[in-house]
Amino acid sequence: MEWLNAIVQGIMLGGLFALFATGLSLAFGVMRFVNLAHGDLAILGAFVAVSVTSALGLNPFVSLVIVVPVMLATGYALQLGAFNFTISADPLPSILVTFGLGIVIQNVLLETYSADSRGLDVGSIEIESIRITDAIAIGWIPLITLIVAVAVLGALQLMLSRTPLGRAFRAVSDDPPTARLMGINDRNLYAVAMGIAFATVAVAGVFLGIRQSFGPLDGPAQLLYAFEAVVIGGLGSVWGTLVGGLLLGVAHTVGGQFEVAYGYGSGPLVGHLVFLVVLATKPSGLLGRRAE
Amino acid sequence: MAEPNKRTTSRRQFLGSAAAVGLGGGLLAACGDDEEAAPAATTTTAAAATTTAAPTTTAAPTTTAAGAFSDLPPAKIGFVTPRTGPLAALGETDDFVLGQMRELFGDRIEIIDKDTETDATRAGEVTNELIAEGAHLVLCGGTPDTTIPVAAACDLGETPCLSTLAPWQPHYINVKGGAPGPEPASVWNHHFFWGIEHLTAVFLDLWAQADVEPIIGALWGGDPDGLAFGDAELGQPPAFIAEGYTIVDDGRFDLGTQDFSAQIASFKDNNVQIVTGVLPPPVFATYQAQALQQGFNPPVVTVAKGLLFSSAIATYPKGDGLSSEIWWTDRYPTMSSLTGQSANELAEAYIAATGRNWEQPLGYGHAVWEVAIDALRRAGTTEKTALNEAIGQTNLDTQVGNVNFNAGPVPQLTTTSLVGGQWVAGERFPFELFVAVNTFLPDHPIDGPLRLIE
Repeated sequence: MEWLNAIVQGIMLGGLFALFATGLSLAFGVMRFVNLAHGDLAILGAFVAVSVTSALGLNPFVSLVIVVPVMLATGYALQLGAFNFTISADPLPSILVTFGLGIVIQNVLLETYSADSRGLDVGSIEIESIRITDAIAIGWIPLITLIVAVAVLGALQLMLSRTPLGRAFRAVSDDPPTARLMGINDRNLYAVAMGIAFATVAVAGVFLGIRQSFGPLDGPAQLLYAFEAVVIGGLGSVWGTLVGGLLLGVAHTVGGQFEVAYGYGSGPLVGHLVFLVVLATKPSGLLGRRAE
Repeated sequence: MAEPNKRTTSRRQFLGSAAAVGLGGGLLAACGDDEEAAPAATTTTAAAATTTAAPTTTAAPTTTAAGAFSDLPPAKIGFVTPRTGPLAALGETDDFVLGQMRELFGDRIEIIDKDTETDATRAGEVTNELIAEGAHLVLCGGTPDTTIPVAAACDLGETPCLSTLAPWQPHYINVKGGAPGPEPASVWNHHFFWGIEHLTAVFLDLWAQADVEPIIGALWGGDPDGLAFGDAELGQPPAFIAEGYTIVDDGRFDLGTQDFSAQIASFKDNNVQIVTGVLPPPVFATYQAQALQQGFNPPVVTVAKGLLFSSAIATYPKGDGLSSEIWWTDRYPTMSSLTGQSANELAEAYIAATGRNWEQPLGYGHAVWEVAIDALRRAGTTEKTALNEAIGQTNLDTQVGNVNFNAGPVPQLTTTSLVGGQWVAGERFPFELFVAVNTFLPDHPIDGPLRLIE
């Protein structure tokens, strides 16, 4: 029963990982852009939600109505104003720029909000759960997080496969010069993609803030798990991101259960091992397109 | 001089490697010492604490302008604390403290403050800078990661160093490079703070007030603190077991974990009534939300490190009733030797200046200046050897109690008191401290016995 509980809790945790990984996966899939500030952006989103909730007295869930557009606009502007200049066959400029951006975000948050750890209070639902059996209970917040993750990824998949915008995304992803010849403004398209990526990471940040407390410097730790989820699932693959997130989540909880049952092992360690095994045996990820 | 220099160099190298392995060994050894000596240490420190009751100075508050310090030799004093980074909460009150000191001393004392950015290497570097800039004395505080490299750099630079805000065992053992003995940690370092023996005693005293089955669930992580606290021979378990407690300990988990479902299931199965551990605030928040979701709400939760700051408590799903060690409160029966402020007046001044609730490092941030100025006045000079000797002769009633560097437990190092209690919903601020244990400081008012979490 403990093991079943571990798997159930792992799937819930995986929802958060998948939500975190979405924006990273999208930016990489569309423009081969590695965003090292991704974790810090999630924390930024959470802090924006802190400001919005305290200024307007909104529930953090409702604050998403403001936080998401703000972050979307930020992502759009940053891509147009800065990131577009780093996009090239060489991944190094984007890595350096986003690495720097991450440090800037951390310190601006530190100056603005102090080093205090914060939380987003959604009331008693934080600790309420659905009791399945005596040993298994599913918390409402983790469940909502998972549902939102599936919804966000599903919407993203629909957009990519069914809409003109999605078609354009796929076109620039496959062959930017040809896409340009066909009249696609790839610079603007990249900005739209980054806006969407920022919007999803803002959602992830707010859910993180509801789930646990956070401080201005907690971003990089989140980046690691997001990266692992993306790589496990397959770079640029939407459903792969979900699979990667869920697998990583289950690896964490089963690893934790292993430790309790047998006295060794650890959640994040098993997560890292799964990541390593996938990277070694299937570098393109479980659902990734085969590397050219 | 060649010989001591050689020795300090090797110590510094040792520190480098100690920092690399996270100072784990030091803490472990520290606990070893503590467990054998725990009962004795308890009584001696309690006795020492009683002497702090009557403050010696009654200077009128805030009327002391720079003029009152005109007898001091003009001096440059460095101040090294973590102001940014994960330990920044420990430096949160520094702005206020330094502002107060600058106002008091005017241009008599030049204060150069440096931020370690929560980085042990940088802490050593900024100390070297301070010494190069001509600092006569370096004050520092904020976990062993700050005090150890600063003390080591001061040792090399032959500059007096006064440190606090770090449990004494890991500080001493890593600065000295060996177990506690009759030698000081370093010629140039003096340190005052409580030790792990006080922490364990306060936890046990808290639990003695709780009428629950003596079953402890332990959340000791795989970080240096968790390894030290949870070590089966040298950590807290022997003291807990000796008092008749059963410990449910499911091993050292990774602090990066986002999931405690396995530990929570195990605690439920084993009917755990008391949850303890040493956890940073975000990790505790993750644990607590999940525990409550899983229907696990033990009557006693006493966790070190994560429950110190009122700002952190407010972020937890259920802050009410959480218990912890308490370093200093606004009701400490103490008075500042610099400003004459009682603990309450100091805390109120902080609240008035910042609009925030006071936090526990405030008392220590103030006290370290009291000791420094007292020593400077007695030395009458900024000559470093004389100043260092004057610090060693310190016997001063400060904001955190008596600091007497001849009182032990080891030379040039002394322990201060510690009380224990829990957070309860407050009137002025969302959460306020309720003191339940004052074994080490009998003059501290008691609010009542530990309340069980409902």
